[in-house]
Amino acid sequence: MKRFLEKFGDLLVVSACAAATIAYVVDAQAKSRSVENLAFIVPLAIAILGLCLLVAVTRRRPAGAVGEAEATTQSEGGAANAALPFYCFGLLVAYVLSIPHIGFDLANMVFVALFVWLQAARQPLHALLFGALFGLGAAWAFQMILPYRLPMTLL
Amino acid sequence: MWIDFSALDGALSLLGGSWMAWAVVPLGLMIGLIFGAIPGMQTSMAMAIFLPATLYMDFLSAMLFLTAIFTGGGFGGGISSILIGIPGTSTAVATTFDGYPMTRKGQHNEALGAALFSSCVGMLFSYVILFLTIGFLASFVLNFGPLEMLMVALWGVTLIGILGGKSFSKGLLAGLFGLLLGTIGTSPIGVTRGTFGIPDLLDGIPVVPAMLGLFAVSELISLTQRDYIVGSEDSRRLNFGRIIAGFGMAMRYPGTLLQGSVMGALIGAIPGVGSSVSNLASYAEARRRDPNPESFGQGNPKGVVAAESANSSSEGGSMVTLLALGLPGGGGTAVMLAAFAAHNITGGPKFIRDQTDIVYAIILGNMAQAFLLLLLGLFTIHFISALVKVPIRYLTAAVLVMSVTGAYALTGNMLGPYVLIAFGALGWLMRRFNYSIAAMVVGLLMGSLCDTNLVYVYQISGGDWQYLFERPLALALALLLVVCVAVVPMLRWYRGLSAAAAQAGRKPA
Repeated sequence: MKRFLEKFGDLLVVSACAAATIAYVVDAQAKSRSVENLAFIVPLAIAILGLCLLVAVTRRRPAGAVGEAEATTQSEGGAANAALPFYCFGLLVAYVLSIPHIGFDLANMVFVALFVWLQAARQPLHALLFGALFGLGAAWAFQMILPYRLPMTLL
Repeated sequence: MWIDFSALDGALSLLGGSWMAWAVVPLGLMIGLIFGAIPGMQTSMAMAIFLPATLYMDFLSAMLFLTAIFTGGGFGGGISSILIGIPGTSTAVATTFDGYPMTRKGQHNEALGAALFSSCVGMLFSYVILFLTIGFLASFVLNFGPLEMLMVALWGVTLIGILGGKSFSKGLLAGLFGLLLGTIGTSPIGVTRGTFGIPDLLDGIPVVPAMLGLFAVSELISLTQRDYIVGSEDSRRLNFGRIIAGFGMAMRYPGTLLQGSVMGALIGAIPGVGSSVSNLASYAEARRRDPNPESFGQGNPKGVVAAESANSSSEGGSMVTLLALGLPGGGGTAVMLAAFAAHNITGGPKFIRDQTDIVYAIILGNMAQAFLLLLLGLFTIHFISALVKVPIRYLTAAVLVMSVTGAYALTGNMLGPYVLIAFGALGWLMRRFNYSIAAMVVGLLMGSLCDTNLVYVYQISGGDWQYLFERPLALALALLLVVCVAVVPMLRWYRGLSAAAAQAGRKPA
């Protein structure tokens, strides 16, 4: 995954950017072809597509910027796990998706405990305790501030 | 006369009659100090995270709260630079050069004192300059029509894109893509575009959750690979008296203080440049002018004074473009512009003309913040230096929960957290591949404004492009835009060639 990202990541980013731009312009011109509707976004889209092409053509080889950034991170973090950001981001997505079902209080507790545990597997008790205290505390504090009810299970 | 004394009187009444405005300032300063001091946590991230809280404040209190975070972060970044040799924020890089060597020599108390005093002086200086010039700037900018505003916004986004990042094309691409995303929703003529059937997007992408994703989530996820641990050196003890002695140390270099403050204010006013550059430029200038430049990097207090006075005075400089033009120069001021929008206020010359008392109140409140920072910084430095040593995994988890809940609080439904996740992923990719996050955010904020102004221009001119020649100021701004786009890559290319030639010259034959 890491090698694939290093090799093709830049290309994937500009491809996604170009695809989103084209989809937006197609949608906009389907809604209205008036000059007022397209005067700003069409020239802007052309400039974006031109820059996407420029970035794709002039992109550096994998050993360039990404490799250097990675090396810095590794040295700063000691025994850093390259896959950890992916796991953490996956956990964050799962946390957000779970909120409508289990509420902020429970979701906060589980997310914080797992997030801390993922980065410090030797201290599960610390993770659990911090998750319970901070997760519940944050949900309670926000509920006190906001004028409407947040989705909750326990509180 | 550029100072409106009746508005000044109104500003003093506003500040004197609002307990809320003063209650939130120490809180904001503390948040800024903490986020600034922890490596990896940026001040703009703190401002974005706490932006939802400002929805329940009046506009003046909201602005003072956000500027207090900005101010606290300015000095907070210097604390970890000095104590552990890791800049807390990008604005405190140059503070590390002499601050950390001072710590190694056992002068960390004096270094912290000098940094705190210089930050306060720099900030005060920049807001005094802003106070004296804002009236003139507003009267000048009031002549701007839609074409000029369009050109200013495009110039700002372009400049942030090409100067803020490592790559010209990627920076510009981030800014322009941000502009495009900023036009999603209902257009100025009532056409719905780019919503792809999602009714929640009719009002456009919710900017604050998007900013939270770009600034906070992307950075926090990157931080999961790091843990800044201070080893045996963490036992350094802080001494109140010696920190105050550091104030005196900074006062011994009034020329360096003034030079840093002036450079910071000027550089801070340029969109896309700001305090990240001003602290380095001021440090380099102080070193160049010094009779003993070799002492820099070895623990010369002048280095700390030059860097800290410049990065703090950049704040006032960046407020010039925000208040006078409604154009944010970077991440922090972009969050402030979002706060303007959240309170249904449009920044720019009309805001200064119509609500001069509030503008003066913001400026005067910030001058008072400089003195409060001096006190609060002095009394909380022990606590903050201890917090720097807390394992970052606890802090990232806590801040992520606050970001997600804050995003929900802003939209009142799950759209906020979903946008936060989407932009968090986008921001993480952008950071990984060196795209400018600040340019994307400013583009997102400016997209709708550019679109609306272009529609006005089209309607005023009847579609005749020669209208540009009837507006000399707009023409000058357009030329400036072209020059920026043409000159910056040429300069970078030339520098690259020179560096390559120098390297080739060093290689043995």
